This record gives sequence, C-alpha cells and structure tokens, in this order.
Amino acid sequence: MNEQNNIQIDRNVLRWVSLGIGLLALLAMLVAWIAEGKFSTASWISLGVSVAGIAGFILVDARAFVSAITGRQGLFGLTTAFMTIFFLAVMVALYLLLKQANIEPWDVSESQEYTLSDTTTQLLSELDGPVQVLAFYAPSDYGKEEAKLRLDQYERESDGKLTVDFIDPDADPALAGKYEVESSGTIVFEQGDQTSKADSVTENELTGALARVMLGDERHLYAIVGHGERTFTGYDTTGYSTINRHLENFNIITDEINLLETGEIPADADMVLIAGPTATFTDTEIAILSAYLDEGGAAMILSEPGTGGGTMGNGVMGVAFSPDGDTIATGGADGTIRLWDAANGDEIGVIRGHTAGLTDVAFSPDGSRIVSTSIDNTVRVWDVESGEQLAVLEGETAAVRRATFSPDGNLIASVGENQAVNIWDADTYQPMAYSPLAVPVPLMTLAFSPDSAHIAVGGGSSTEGPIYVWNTETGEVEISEPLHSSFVFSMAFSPDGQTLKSAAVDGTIGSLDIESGEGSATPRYADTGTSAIAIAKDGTIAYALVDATVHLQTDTGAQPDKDIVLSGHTDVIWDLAFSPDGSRVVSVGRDNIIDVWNVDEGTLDYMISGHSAVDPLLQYLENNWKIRLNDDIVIDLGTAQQFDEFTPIVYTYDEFSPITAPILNQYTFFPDARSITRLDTSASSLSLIALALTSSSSSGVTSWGETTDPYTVGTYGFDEADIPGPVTLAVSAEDLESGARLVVVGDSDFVSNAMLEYSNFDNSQFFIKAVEWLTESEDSIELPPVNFEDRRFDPQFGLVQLRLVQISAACLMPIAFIVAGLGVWITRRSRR
Amino acid sequence: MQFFKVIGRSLRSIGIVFSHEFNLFFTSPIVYLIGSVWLFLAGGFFALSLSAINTGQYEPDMLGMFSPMVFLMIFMAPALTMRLVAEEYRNGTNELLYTAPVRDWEVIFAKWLAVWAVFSVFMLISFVYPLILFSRGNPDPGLIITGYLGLWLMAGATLALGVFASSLTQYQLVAFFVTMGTLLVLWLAQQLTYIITSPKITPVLAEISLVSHYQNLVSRAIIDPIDVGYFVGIITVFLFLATQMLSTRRWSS
Amino acid sequence: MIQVEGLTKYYGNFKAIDSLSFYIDAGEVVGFLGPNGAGKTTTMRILTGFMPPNEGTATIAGYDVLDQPLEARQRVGYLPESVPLYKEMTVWQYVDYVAKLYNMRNPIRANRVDEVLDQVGMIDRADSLISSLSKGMRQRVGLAQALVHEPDVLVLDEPTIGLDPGQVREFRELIQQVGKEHTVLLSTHILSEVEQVCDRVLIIHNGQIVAEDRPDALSARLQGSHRFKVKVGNAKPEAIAEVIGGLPGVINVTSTDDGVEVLSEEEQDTRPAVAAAIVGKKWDLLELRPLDMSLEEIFLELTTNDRQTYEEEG
Repeated sequence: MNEQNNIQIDRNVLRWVSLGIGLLALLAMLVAWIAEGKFSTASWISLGVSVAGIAGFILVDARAFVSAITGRQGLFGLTTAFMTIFFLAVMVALYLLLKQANIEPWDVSESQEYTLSDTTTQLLSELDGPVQVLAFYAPSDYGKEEAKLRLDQYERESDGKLTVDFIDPDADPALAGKYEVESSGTIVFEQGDQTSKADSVTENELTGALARVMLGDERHLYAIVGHGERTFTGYDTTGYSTINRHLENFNIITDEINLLETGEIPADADMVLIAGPTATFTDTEIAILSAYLDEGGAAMILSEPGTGGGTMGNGVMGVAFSPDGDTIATGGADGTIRLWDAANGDEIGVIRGHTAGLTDVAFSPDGSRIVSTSIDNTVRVWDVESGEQLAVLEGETAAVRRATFSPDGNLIASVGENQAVNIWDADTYQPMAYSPLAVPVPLMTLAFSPDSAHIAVGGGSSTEGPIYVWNTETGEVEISEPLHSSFVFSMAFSPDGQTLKSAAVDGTIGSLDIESGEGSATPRYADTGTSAIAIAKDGTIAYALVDATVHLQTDTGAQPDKDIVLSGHTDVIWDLAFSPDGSRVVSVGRDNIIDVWNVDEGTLDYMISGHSAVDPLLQYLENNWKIRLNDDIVIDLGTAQQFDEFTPIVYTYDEFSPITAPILNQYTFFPDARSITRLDTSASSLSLIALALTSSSSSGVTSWGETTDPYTVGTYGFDEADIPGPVTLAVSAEDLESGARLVVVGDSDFVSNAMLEYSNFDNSQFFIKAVEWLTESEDSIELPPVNFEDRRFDPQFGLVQLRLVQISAACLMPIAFIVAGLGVWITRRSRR
Repeated sequence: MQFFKVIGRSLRSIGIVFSHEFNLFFTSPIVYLIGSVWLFLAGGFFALSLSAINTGQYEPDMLGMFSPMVFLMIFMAPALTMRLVAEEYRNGTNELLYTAPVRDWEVIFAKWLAVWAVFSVFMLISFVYPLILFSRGNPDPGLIITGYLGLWLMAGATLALGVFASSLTQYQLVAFFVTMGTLLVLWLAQQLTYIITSPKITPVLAEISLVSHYQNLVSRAIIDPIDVGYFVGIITVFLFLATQMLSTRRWSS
Repeated sequence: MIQVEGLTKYYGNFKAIDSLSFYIDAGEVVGFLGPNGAGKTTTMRILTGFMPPNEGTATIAGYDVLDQPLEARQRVGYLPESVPLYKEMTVWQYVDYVAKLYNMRNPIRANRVDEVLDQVGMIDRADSLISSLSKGMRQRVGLAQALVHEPDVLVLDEPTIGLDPGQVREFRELIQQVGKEHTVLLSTHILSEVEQVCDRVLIIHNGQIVAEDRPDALSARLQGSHRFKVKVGNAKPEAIAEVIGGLPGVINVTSTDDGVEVLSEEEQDTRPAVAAAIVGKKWDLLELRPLDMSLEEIFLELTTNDRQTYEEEG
C-alpha cells in the first residue's frame, strides 16, 4: 500500500511539475514574442517546451487525467479552470479599462502642487488652436517622470488641443537643434510658428511658456549706457551676454540707449535697465527717466557699492595744480573732473564725459587743457574754459592709470594696464611713430624729465617694480631697471632732471640717475608703504604713505624721522601735487577728501570733500521713490564660507512678491553689494517691498580701517555707524497712482556672465522674474503663484537629542512589542 | 432584501473567522517577534533618514522608511502568512472549516483580513515616526498619507499572495518559500528594468510591477486610481485563486 | 432524515465507495460498521459536506449536500476521526467558536456552551487550554462542539478510538443519552460498540453495503439451524471433525474445549444428518444445541467470504 502511494506521489509531483514547466514556457514564449516583435527561435523553443510540459502532465498519469476530466470531478475541474481564466481575463480587462478611463488622480498634497490652478485651466480653455509640446528628456533623466505627470495634467485639461511628445535630444539632434535645445529637461511649446521654452516643470514656468506662445508678445528692454554700465553685448566675465540669452527665451528683446544722445526713452520701451553705472548721471538724464516713470514706466536699477558718490568708492584718484596755481583739478571715481578755486577750495566747474571713474588729471603747460585718464580705457583731452571734450586719444585698450603733458607741451603720454606707454602729439593728437612702447608689466606711473627729453614709467606687480626710461625723440629705451621688488606706484623727477625718484608700494624709495642709468632703492618707509610721491620746484619731496599721512622731506639728506608729517586723511592717498610756487601741497585719496596743506607751516589750509556729491540718480531714487542706496559695503559673515564675506548669499525672500515667490527655497548671491533702506512712504502712493535679505550675521559697513596695500580695502570693524544686518539687498517698488514699477538691487554683478556659471544658485531666475514683473501689462497673464513651504526642522535637534530620538525610534517600539508578547506568553502559561 | 440577508450572513461568518484568526495571531510568540523586527527595521531606516532631515538637507518626509519596505515584505509576508491555511490542513481543523456552514471564500477572505489587520497594527504603531517629524518640522501630510496608503495596499497584496501560497500545501515551510521566492523574483525583475531597458518590455514590466505602483503612491502626494486598482486587483486575484485551491482540495484528501 | 442514493467516490483510480444507497430516519442511531478503508469515513465526509461525491446524491433533513450545502451543514454536527481542535484555545473558547460558526447568537449561545460542556462533563475544565487535556477529554470536547448547535444529525467517525476502556464506556453512555434526542450516525470497526449503542447497523465492505438491519435481527437471522454445538463422547476430535465435516451442507467444523461447533449453510438444517452420523459411528451424542451468532462472526462471515450482499427483506 505504501509503495503504491509513493509511486502515486512521485507521479503526481512529476505531472504537476511538468504542467508548471509547460505553463512557464508558454509565458516565456509570449514574452519573447512581444520583446522581439515576431515569432523567433526563442519563441519556437518555448512553445515546444510548453507543449512537452502539457503533454507530460496528461500522459504521466493518463488515467488520473482522464478521471479528472470526466464525471463530476472533471466537470468541477473544467469549471474551475474556465472560471479562473475568465476571472483573470476580467480582472485584466477591468484594469485596462481603468487605465483607459484616465481618471484624474486625487491630489492630496498640502499645497495642491499636482493640481492645475484656475489660471492654467482658464488659459487652456482659451486655446484657439492646437499647441504642440515637445519635452526633450534624455532617458536617464530622473525628471522625466515628473514632467510626464505634469504635462499629462495639461494634456488632460486641454481637451485634446494640447499634445505632448517626449523626445530624446541625443537620439534626435536635428530636432533638438531646430528648437535650440541645449540640455535635457527643456520643454518647447509651439503654436503655429510661435515657440516658447520652459526649463523647469513647475506650473508657473509651464503656464508662463504657454502664455507666451499663445500671446506671442514681445517686450522691449532698453539698457541705458554712457556711465560705464554693463552691456548685453559684453561677452567677457563681467558682461551680460548670458542673461541676455535667458531674456530671449522669455520673448524679451534688449537694446542699448544713451539718453544724452536720444533725449528720450522710446515709446515701445516696456522697461529700462541701469546696470551698475560708475559715472554719475546728469540732471537731464534723470529728468527723462523721471518723465518716463511718471507715465507708468518700469525700470530696474542695479547699483554697485562705492558708486554714485559717498565714501565707499575709490574717492578722488588724481589731482593737479594749474600752472598758474589758481586752480586745482581733481579726477574722481564718480567719473567727473572737478575744478576748484585753489585759494579757498570752492568748486568752479565739473567736466563730464568719461563713462567710468577717473584715475588721473594733468594740466597742459599753458593751463588751457586738461588730459585725463580713466578705467573706461580712454585718455581724453578737455578744454578747461569750456569743459568741452577736445579729443579721445586712441591707443589704450585697458584701464589707463596716468597721463601727463610733456613740460614743453608737445607730447601727451599715458600708461595703464595694457602694458605699454602711449605717446601722442599734443596738438594733432596723433600717436608718435614709436608709440606705443611695450613693456612686460602693467604700468602705474609716468613722468617726463623737466627737459621733456625723457619719459620714465614704472609699474610691476607684487614681486617686481621695474622702471623704464625712453628717449622721447627717438623712442629708444635707455634705461630698464628692476629697481624695486614690488610695484612702483608713483615717480617724479628732481628739479634738475638728473634724478628720478620712485616710490614703491612696499615703502622703498628709488633714486635713479638718468645719465648713468644706475640707481638704488632704500627702504625709507618700509614699515608703512608708500602710495605717491611729488617733488616741488625747490626740491621738497612729499611722500604719501599708506597710513594716510603725507610726509614732507625738506632736506634731501634728511632721514624720515625729520619729516614734517601731515595727517588728515582717513584712507589711502592716491595722488599728491605741489603748487607751482611750492607753498602748498594738495593730497587726494580714497576717503573722497581733498586736503590742501601749507608746506612751510605743515598745517592744513583747507579741506574739500571732493567728489562726494550724490549722483542725481541716487538722489532721485531717494526723493521720488523713498529708496536709499546706502553708502556701504555689505559684509556677511554668516555665508562667508561659500565665497567670501563680501559676497552675501541670500535665502530669505519676500514670500508674496511674484518676483521672489518662485525662488523661496533657492539661494542667490551678490558679489560686492550695498544695502538698501526703505524710507517712510506714508505720505505717498508708493508701495515698497524688501525682496531679498541677508543673514543676521551681516552688516553694511560704512567705513574702512587701516590697510597696508592701496589696492586692497582696509580691515573693517563694526561700529555704530554701520548698518546692522539683516540688510535688504533688493527692493521692489510700485507707484499705485501712476502704475510705475521699480526694482532696485544693490549689486550688478550677480547676473554677470561669470557669476551665472554657478548653477546651483538662482540669480538668473531672480533677474528674470523681476523683469517679468516690471514688464507686466494689463494684457499679460497673471501666472499662478508658486507655493513653497519651508518644511525644515526649526529648531533643529541638537546632536545628543537627535541620537536619542533615533535610538528610541528604532528600539522603543520593538521592545514594547516584545514586552507585550512576553506578557501574553506568561499569562497563557499560567492558564495551564 | 434577500440579497442583503445573504450579504449579512457572509459578513457575519467572515467576522467570526476573522476575530478567531486575529486573536490566534496574538497568542503566538511569532507575531511579536515578526512585529518587533519589522518595527525595529522601520524605525531604524527612519532614524537613519532623520540626520539629513534634521540639517535641512532633505525635506521632512517618510521616504527613508518607505523605500526599503518592499524588500522587507519579501520576508515579512511569508513569515506572517505561512501557517494561515497550511496549518489547518496539518492540524486536521480543515475538516471543521470544510463542514461548517461557511463558504470557502469567506474563510479565505477572513484569514487574509486577519493577517492584514495584524500588519495594520504594526503600521499603526509606526505612526509615532511621522509624529516626530511634525514635532519639529512641517511635513506635507498628504505625502505621508499616500505613503502609508501605499504601504498598506502593498502589504495587503503580498499577504494575499502569501495566503494563496499557504493554501497550496500543508507544509508551512513550503508556503514560506513559495511566497518568498515569488516575491523575490518579482522584486528582481523590477531591479532588472533599471539595467535592461527595452522599449517593449520595460513599460509592460512597470505596469505589472508591485514596486512601481508602490513607488507611485509613496513618492508623490497623489492617489492615482490606477495604483489603487492595481493593488485591489492583485488582492482579489490571489484570494480568488486561494479560494479555488480550497475548493479543489476538497476533492482529494 | 438522511437519504443517500447511488453515492460513488473515486480517489484517482481507486473507487472508495460504489453506488451506496441507504436511508436513516429521524431519531435512529445507526452504526456504520466496516474494516479500515471500507469507505465509512468517505461516506461521512460526503454527508457532512467535506467533499463532493463523483456520482449520486445525499440529502440531510431534506437539503441536498451539493445544492444546498450551507443548510445541510448547518444541521449536521460532525466529530471527525482526527478531532479538529485548536490547541491554543481554551475549551470554552473553542466550543464557543464552533457555535458561532454554526450561526448561534448570544445570549443563547453562551448558555448552550455551558450546557453542552456540562453534558459531556467538561464544565470544570472550561478554561483550560486544549493542549493541556488528555485524549479522552479532547474527545469529549469534540463531542461538545458537535452537539453545541443542536444539530438534527450527529455524525461521529470512530469516536472511541484511542480511549481506554473506562473512557470508552463513559463515551458510549453519552452517545446513548444523546441518541435519545438526535439522529446519530456513528462509524466504528468495534462490533460491541454497535451492538450496545445502535438501533441499526450498516455493514460496509469495499465501498459497498453488504448488510443492513437491526443488530439483533441480524444475529437472529443467522442463528439457530445455522450454527450449533455438538458434544461427542468416545471419539477423537479429529475423527469427529472429519465425519461431520464431510456431511453435505456443513461449511465448517471447529473444535473447542467442550465440543465441536458446526457451521452450516444458510437455510439448511444439518442437525439430523449430524446426529445420524454420530450415532452411526457408535459415538455418544451428549449434546446438540443451537448457537447464537455474534455480530462479530456475522461480520467476519460477510466480510471475509465474497458472498452476495445480504439484503433485508420487508
């Protein structure tokens, strides 16, 4: 009996295993068929195995099979089999039906982020023609799933008018090229011949792109130029060419405009942009701007710290006495040349023309002309009387540092960053045949010999300070002397023209004999460093030290301790000049102060706060818009680890403004920024919103401490005059009566080409959103708001607390459960 | 009227077997062991994700706990279900159930409900973890709801598979390995799709894969009727098959 | 109460029961008698709805077990051979559970459970875990669960297997009690059980009913002329056996301590021939008396010789 059972069992196992194999093979056959699209060898083999398996099932125990399919049991078996197959088929059919029905999923997210807002559904219902959406996603792009989800929603709501296709940009480069798709994750909307792009799948972006393609509107942005602003055609690191491309994606056409030339803002302007001017605006320009805004215009003003007046800029960089001693001319970082009455310091006149800060001014020997240099890379000649620009000398290609007339008035020479000396004829303004004279280093200073026969230049770097002397007639270099070991900042000839004195940044004073070409450098002011040197006709030497003092050496052999010390400046002194009679010496510096000293008495005659007149633009903003661009530089210690303390990183924004709502969770940064203060708007129709704030460990520093290097800012110490953080870096303003809109930001570099390389920051988004807000019209669609909750832990767990929570989370519950189990077990045992 | 009477009777029968099975679960030490292991692992994964959430690197959500759940169920489901039907055969109590005035499907359904309820108890205990998130942060409640829904349904489906496997044999161990093996194969198939992408097979696999529907529910705060329908379908199919198995086994004993 | 017509069941190729038919009236206590594998358990399983027959019908209290399974099962209390118990439950919980399964509701149910436990004598151990009970107690619990829902029919499969004699006696008394109020079908291979307890006996062999009658009627039929005892003096047992055995109509001659037992064919009275043979041999005929056939013997006869099925007449 047992044996029979065993055989029975074995047979049973065999037949069922056989059936199992047969069914699996059937499945494999189907899979192979689907995968390969045809009935291939793999399918045939599977089919064969399947048939064998099923046959085995029948034959191994034929009797059982027969009895299984006959009689009541057979009937039952068949019924069960059919019912099962039928049931499975019904389930599959139901499932497919469910898919077909395409029921809208239920959005349970807190912010309803998966449901289209009314704006979008409204827009979709207004579709007047088919819109094609091409979503370019690489297969490996994880964002594809979410894109599918969102675009499905659009498709569903559009009632068939909107169709979505997914394209692999690598598989179809031609198509990608046609739409200028550069990266995976770009979505192109197309209606007719209008296209628009979105590069993220938020509802805000997609609906925005949809709106743009439906309405096809272009907006015009005019960038004001003429004051050293950044330009959209600038492709260098500080240019705006990259952001320009982003603007194109948003149908925003950019153009440049010089208000002094055109006299007005074009009628089709949807907004104007002022991107980081360094030279001051004229009242005329401001009047044009004001009129434009009063009509309901819009403007974005980006202001760099240290510009537009105030003390945080470079101040006054060049000074010169007129040959008759009556006038003092200064060149300021505000881009102006100002003329002062030498007797009392009254301002006589202002000469404008440079588009960036001045670095040097010099009078012609007859006092009728002034030559000036600037970081706008130009050398210009002006008529003193009329203030007219007489010439722009060609040749300099980078920031120009110094220029001067030759003592005989025949030549004009300039030096600068472009590592050459340019020499022109002072009358024809044509370059000399031998000009430019190339040198291997950037140049900072120059001086003609009193007989105009030689010209000396100096410059260098932090490791070398060479001096070169040429013959002005032949243009041949006569001396090339690596006299100093750090760059030469300033030089002057002795009155007899024999010796050339040079001052290097490290405080060494060089003496070079012109005849012999030999010289030496003594570390006279090695512990403080020097920034300027001037020699009076009587041989008195004035040194400007980096500690902001002027030292007078009246005796050629005198030691530094015998110097007459003139203190008054609070920051680096850029330039010194003696009056022709040697009785006065004037110093100008970064503190924007012009000090006129009495040489004999060693006292201050008077002081002019030089070019600190506030730029009309800033005045306009403060008076008409109650927005004050503070005269400070923002230091943020809280975010310093990413870049440095001068580059605040912002993550606190206004939650409601359509400009910042889309980026609430993102970071933006502003290299070298100034803070903005909103003034009282209660008596006006203005609405001001602080858009971006720095961290609480920040401050707007309004003054510098000491420095040892003219080209680096000094240390900063926080004092009461400073503006405590968090400070506002960007403000939006709206005049509720006129409808005019303004966005003011205390930095212009944040969207320069170099800064947009940092892809994990959202600077460009911020800029574009601001532009969109500014150029919004009644016709434009109000885009759905973007909701971003800050879900982060606040306050966070401390480390110890965290570990405690973690351990209890992992262990408490299980232990409790085990204890419960033990309890149950014990009670059960006791029942016995 | 008759219809409601019939439904009422069925519900009563189901209820009786359900409470019997449910209580039976909690009198055996196995459940406490499995439960505590599951809670330990779930809590452990959650705890691990807490570090990143705390510093704000990740949004506060329960994904850290939910992600490895499918893999865990490969072992949990067989452990919980292996004895459900098989033991009745081993014990001889199948004769009681077969001859009592209860229908086969009522018994199967009640057994599945009971083991699902047991799992639900584990799940309820784990609600402590999202509470931790709410205490300090502001997680999206919708996401947590869909996550638990996905877990609950996925568990229901794997447990239904386990019930079916248990109905195939009288040996608990066999049921255990059948369930575990099947789930493992399914899980592996899903993993394969990440490596092998064929435009024809991959979408089909994604459609029938337990993991993908689970992910759909867990990772987004939306409830797609397709995903819910999928799980309900799986549960129905396996409970149906188990019922058929029971009926079939009446013929041979 | 129970009607079975042409019931047939196959296990694979093996025919377990072959076209079985019988009737059991309400209130009867019927015994299924047969060796192991005769088909008793199979028949009972079909009656209780455990498994379906390949052919034939069975009805309980008018309900067909296939067409109206729930109603039929509701009316049957079943105690299978392997008593189906959940070891981790208490006695009370278990019986209550079965009562629930059989649609009993509170408060009737709770009372009934107490009642039935009392009836089977397990009320004192109501809160004990079943795993802690002895075999006899478990059997009684099994009976309790069969009784608890007051079924019309009780089906008991080998209920006294594995019990010690004392327990067996107790159990039989229980069944007798129970039999007064219920229809009972019990199966066994122990003849004494059937004799003591049952009103009627169905003898099953190889899936067929080979005999069916009241126990005493069966015995009566096969007694008297059929079997008698002869005491012979003056003779050697072997010789006696040889002489008597050779007589026509004599089936069997068995020597015992006090004589010889003669078994003769049915309907044939061989006593005169035997007497004559003994006398003819000059032996002493000391005793000639009829013997009752025990059920056992009937049973053995019927089941070891492939005889025609003995059918009841009338």
